[in-house]
Amino acid sequence: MKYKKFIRLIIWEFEEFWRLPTLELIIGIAIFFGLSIPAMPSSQALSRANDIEFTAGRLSLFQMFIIAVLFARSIAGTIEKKEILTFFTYPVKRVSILASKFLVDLSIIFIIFASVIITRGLLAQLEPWNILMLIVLFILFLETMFFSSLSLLFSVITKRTWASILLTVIFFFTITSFMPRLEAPIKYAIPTYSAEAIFNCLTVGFRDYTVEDFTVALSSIVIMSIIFILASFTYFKRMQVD
Amino acid sequence: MKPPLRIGILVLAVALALFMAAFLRAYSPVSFGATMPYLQPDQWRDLPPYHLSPQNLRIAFSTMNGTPVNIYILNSQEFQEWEDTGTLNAAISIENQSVFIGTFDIASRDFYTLIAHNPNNETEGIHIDLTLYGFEKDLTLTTTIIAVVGIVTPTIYYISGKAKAHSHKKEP
Repeated sequence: MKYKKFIRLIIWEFEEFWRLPTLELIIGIAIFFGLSIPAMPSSQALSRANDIEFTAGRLSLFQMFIIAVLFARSIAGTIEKKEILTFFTYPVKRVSILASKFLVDLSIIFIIFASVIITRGLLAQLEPWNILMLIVLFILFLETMFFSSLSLLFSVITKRTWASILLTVIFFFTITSFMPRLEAPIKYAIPTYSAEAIFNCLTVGFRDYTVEDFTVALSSIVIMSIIFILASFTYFKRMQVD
Repeated sequence: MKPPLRIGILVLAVALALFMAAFLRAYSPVSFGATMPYLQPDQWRDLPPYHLSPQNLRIAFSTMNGTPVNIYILNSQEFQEWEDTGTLNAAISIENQSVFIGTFDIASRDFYTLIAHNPNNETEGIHIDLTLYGFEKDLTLTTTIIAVVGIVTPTIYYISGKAKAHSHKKEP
């Protein structure tokens, strides 16, 4: 019974996406920025995978912005317009409401961006089940998870659409400009740098990066995402809607 | 909005984005090249394969001492055949040229190997520049198919709806 209600919540959230032109805009941006630059004609699978990882890195800025807007609209916007009170009358736990929104937003963004990356892989004759492609997709998932959890936290805390978008963008740009000045391995704690470090370590081994760099890169992105998600859910459970 | 129309709009948006990406790719030429010095008399030398997309390939080469050479570009199957049996059946053949500039069509997305042959009695060197440009045939075809699906889906739905409404009107 609870499971069915959760599915209903997911369908409601998906219906929000189905409205014109949300999906079209996301897909358009992802395809345009993900496929518009041709790859170098290398015969080495690693070089072609490196190009795809680089494309994913270039896409991460747009991905971050799209995630910030979607979460702000879906969560902060619902709270701001008091529509969340209607959701609270539905006989489910508060956590389920937030979880449904988080899962739908995260899944749709990941599916769209992963599809673009897979298409770029196919154009470079790298099948989706190729281990190099799986590594790129794993990194893309980690990045999507990080940006989503960050946007989720700011959406829940600010309860205002524009404030949530601005805070997410400012936070991201601040850490992107501040962290590289730090010494390794601390600078690998942000997604743009950690993605490169994780890809490099998983494909060519610990040649350019140390085990410590890899551990910081992987654990920071996972731990920060978990902390942001837990903080958001804890706050949402006790949140007062004025 | 009816689901078939909504799906049609979504599919058309995908086609439009793909077309814009294909357009930008077509007008972003990819250039690469190689130099093969000291090609001994009657020597055959192949370069590591390139992954080429079905576009136009502009080939420009010149020999260092001005004597004519042969250049062949083989797809993966042809290269395998060349390695196994020694039969040369190249997708692109340029024979007895010392300076050459020309454009060829790459038929399919594949790995292509460039082989140079020095038929002269003296050592020769070659410098070759390759440029890939133009619309990628497979990407353009896929975009067209997606666009057609995007147009046909709501159209069929619209026509079948009209036909149903017409048949209901006819019934007394």
